[in-house]
Amino acid sequence: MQRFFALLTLMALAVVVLRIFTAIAVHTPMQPAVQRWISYAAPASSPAAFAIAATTMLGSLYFSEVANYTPCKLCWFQRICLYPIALILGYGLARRDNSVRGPAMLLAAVALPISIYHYLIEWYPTLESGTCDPTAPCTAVWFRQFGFVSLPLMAGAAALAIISLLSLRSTTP
Amino acid sequence: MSTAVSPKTESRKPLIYIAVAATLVVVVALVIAIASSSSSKKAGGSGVPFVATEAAANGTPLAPYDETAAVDPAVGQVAPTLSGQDFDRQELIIGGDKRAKVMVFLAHWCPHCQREVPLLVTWLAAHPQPQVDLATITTGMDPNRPNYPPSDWLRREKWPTPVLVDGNSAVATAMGLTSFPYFVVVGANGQVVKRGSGELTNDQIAALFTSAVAQ
Repeated sequence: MQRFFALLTLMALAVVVLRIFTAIAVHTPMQPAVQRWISYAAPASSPAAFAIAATTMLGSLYFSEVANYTPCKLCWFQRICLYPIALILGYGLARRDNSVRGPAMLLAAVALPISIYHYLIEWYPTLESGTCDPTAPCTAVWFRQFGFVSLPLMAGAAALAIISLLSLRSTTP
Repeated sequence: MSTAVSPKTESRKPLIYIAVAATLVVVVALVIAIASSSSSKKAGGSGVPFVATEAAANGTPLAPYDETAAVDPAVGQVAPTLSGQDFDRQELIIGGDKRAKVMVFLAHWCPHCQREVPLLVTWLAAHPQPQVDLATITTGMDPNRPNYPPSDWLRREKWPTPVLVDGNSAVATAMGLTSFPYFVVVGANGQVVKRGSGELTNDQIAALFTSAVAQ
């Protein structure tokens, strides 16, 4: 399952790269083609963001409740931000209410720096402290798939992909 | 007679294509994950089986270590005698032998311990300590956590002394462990000289061993 979620993380990062490319490409001669692509993909952005948020929530619950990886303090902060996104976007989809995109993006934007910091202290543990908490240290790395995909990277990639997808509509003419 | 396509159906077409594409991508990821995990299981092979045997501490337990406290209440107290088994399931007793010792408590999953171990190995190889014993305790073990078992890790790092396995964390609790890596310096009279935790530099390691015989 670690590898499965790691592959999904890579796909989420691919979504982010694609979104950055479109953001840049609309200012180039490729604009008409990119705008056409955006208008084609934009209606799917909310359902896709919801799917990512729901998968993130289920994956996180799998790792803590099935694989028994004890969540650390920073894991909880990321969960607090990311779990409600699935509920908010699900509610918005059910009610066909686009106003939920703002709060969802805000929550993802709060989760992102926490994930970045968490990922950094996994690689450089002395940035946080010189010791490990015996129960749930934030510096402990449960796994690194492909040598770099760990739990905070998964959370950070999900947050970035959600922001990328939810910001797609705003650029639609 | 031509078939009319309603505008609503036409506008939903991209959504359907995207949903199908996303589902396909997830299915492909699942197939890759299952295929690669089954092949890695075949390739895997473990060494000597490790058992997290229980250890015991005889004597008055030390107060939990608080690095912010101005005075450590455990200093001067007689340290409990520790007993249990090493990685080869041989009986191992730490204490009661009138030898000064530096006790090191390590957790296999702790990145600070992982960084400190090679440093200690190198320092000890360069600075033999005939008057001070290095006593190592591996504790806080969890098969779900990375770098398990600790026996593989410490053998890989060429750890120089036998390691007491504290499978029930009884020794860690009795010695007042509150974080990893954790050090307890005990003098030849059996009394605690100092305690500390966290990553140490070479100078701090030297100071630790010096303090064990400085009484």
